[in-house]
Amino acid sequence: MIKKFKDAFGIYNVEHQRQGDALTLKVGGRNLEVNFDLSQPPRCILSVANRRWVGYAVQRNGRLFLHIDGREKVFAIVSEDDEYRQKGAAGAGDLSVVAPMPGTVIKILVEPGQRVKPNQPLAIVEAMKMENEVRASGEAVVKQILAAPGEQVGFGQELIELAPPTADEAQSASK
Amino acid sequence: MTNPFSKVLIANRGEIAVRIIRACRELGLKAVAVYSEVDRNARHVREADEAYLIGPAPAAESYLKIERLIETAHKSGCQAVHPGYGFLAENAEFARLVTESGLVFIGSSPESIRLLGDKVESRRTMARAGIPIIPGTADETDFSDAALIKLAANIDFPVLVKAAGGGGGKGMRAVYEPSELPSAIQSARREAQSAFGNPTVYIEKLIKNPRHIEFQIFGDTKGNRVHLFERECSIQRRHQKIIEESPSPALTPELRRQMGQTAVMVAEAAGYYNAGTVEFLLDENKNYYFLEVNTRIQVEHPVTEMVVGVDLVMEQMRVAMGGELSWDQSDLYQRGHSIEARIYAEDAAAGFLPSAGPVLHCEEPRGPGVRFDNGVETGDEITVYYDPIIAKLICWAPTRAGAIIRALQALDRTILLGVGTNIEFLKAVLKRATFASGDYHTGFIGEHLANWTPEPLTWEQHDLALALACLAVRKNYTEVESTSAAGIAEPWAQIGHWEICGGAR
Repeated sequence: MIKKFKDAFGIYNVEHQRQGDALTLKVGGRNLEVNFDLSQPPRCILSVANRRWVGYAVQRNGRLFLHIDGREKVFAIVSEDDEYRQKGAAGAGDLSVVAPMPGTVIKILVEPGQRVKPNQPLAIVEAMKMENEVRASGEAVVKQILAAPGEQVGFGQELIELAPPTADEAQSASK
Repeated sequence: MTNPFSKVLIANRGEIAVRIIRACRELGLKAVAVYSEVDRNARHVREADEAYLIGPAPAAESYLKIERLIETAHKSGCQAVHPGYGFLAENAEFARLVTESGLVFIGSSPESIRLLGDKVESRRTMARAGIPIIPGTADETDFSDAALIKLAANIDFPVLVKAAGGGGGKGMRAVYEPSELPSAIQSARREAQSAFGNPTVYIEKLIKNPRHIEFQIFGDTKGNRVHLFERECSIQRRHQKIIEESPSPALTPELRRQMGQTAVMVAEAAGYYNAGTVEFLLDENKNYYFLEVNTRIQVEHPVTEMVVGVDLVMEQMRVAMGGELSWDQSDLYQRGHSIEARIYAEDAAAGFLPSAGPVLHCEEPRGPGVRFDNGVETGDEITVYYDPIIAKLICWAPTRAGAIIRALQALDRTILLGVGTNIEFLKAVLKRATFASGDYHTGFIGEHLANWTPEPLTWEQHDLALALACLAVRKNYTEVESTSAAGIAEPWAQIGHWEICGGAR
């Protein structure tokens, strides 16, 4: 049986087989044989030869939150649907400017049509009483302002739409 | 003196509310919790004797609602109010209204809180009492942009723009060039207004590579005052402390004695009683300067409790009942070493952005010399409405090196699944040679861990994690139902498609 897990570094295809309290894994050319005891979830005791580890694992919203040997690890569970979506969504470089945290927009520092340099502050978002600057990731032109001062914004909400400067020039030339 | 209160309202939440409830229990007092709508079943609510809803999630509509808190205290039959830290803890108006309504305020007098809460006023008072202050605004009365710019021109840059109304790095800006000053003043004013309701800012010389060392002070209403030695608080991110320790590796016995005496003088100059903290900056030549007084129990108070062997929160209540201090200065000494690590719900690798989410599983570390002051348990939710502090790990050992090792071990056994925490970052700090040497200052994180990312798992850990993952995805394994609101970004959605392991595709 094969299961797929994903983290920031990539996808792991894990070939595994369970038999009683033994689990055999094959991943990235490595083989691992562990015995396990998960009679008290979310606790799971893993053993390899004469060593034991106490791990914890909880699944939520397609993600696995794990703790093993003093470290936390989060994997996304990859389903066939996800893979299909991923292939379809391969697009151009992302210039969107999003709220780095839930908070309140304090100030928008740019205007539509304005040219911005990499790292230029574009907006100030306040969260937990701290002001945080949202900066441009690269050279671009402000296409649209999508949030107003005073507005409550959620994590990842788009604040400003940027366009690549070359695309913008091409656009104005064609008018 | 007879016991003037037997039931205490705790005007706070999270780990400090839980801590205060425990002190109440040990003194045989009833503890009343208050909560906002999102904290309906929070740990402090569960542990209190009674709990009352005070409003919606935003603090301004709940934990900061003075009238509602006082009304709730009376309604529930409390005779005293403990403000904890943060929220209304240093609000003189709150202390005054609590006292005027016939309740005991567990803290200092409204007059002292007002004086010390105004950083400009307190600098002026301390300078007059002969206490060393950092060069900057002192007797000036004009705080207009123009006046501040003029004053700064007379001090060597860099300077700090600081909020008169508060601390914690809010409303504060370091300015290295005169040309940056006007916009820094503007920005600091806005932040100060939003955080403290007071847009007044002032100028102070920026001390290069300072250490932040504070002294715990305590006074009773009979005029007895002591200090309980120092806490070294130089490990800060965004001007907020994350690791504190006592004793400070920077102090000699003589310097400690001098600073302790100065701290008591500060308390006397302000007529201060109950628990307070005198903050000092120590420069590279070991000159110390008065910074401010925090008129509340501090987040890091357990460090002192462990090293001096006292219970500061219980002492706060005894003093508030009119009792005399339990100790003379000569009763107090430091024994061994203590380190606190603050566990925050934040992403240390992404500019310390606050994180939120459910606590899917929580395991607290235990063992000799290990204390864990925690505001949550498995099943609780961390929201973005309040300070991101989740818990504090405090370790004690006979030596500093022993305390560091103990803290690292305990962090390995601290489990908070489901919400991003700074645990790995704390370990990284404790493992740095510079930290181990004790020779560090407030620039430590910027200098050593500015571009920190978590150490990758070893192959063994990674394989074990995958084994655990294979076992956990089975249907009969713990699956927590989705309850979180939409809009929480899935970081995986932003990551390109890589194939590491080969094989099945």
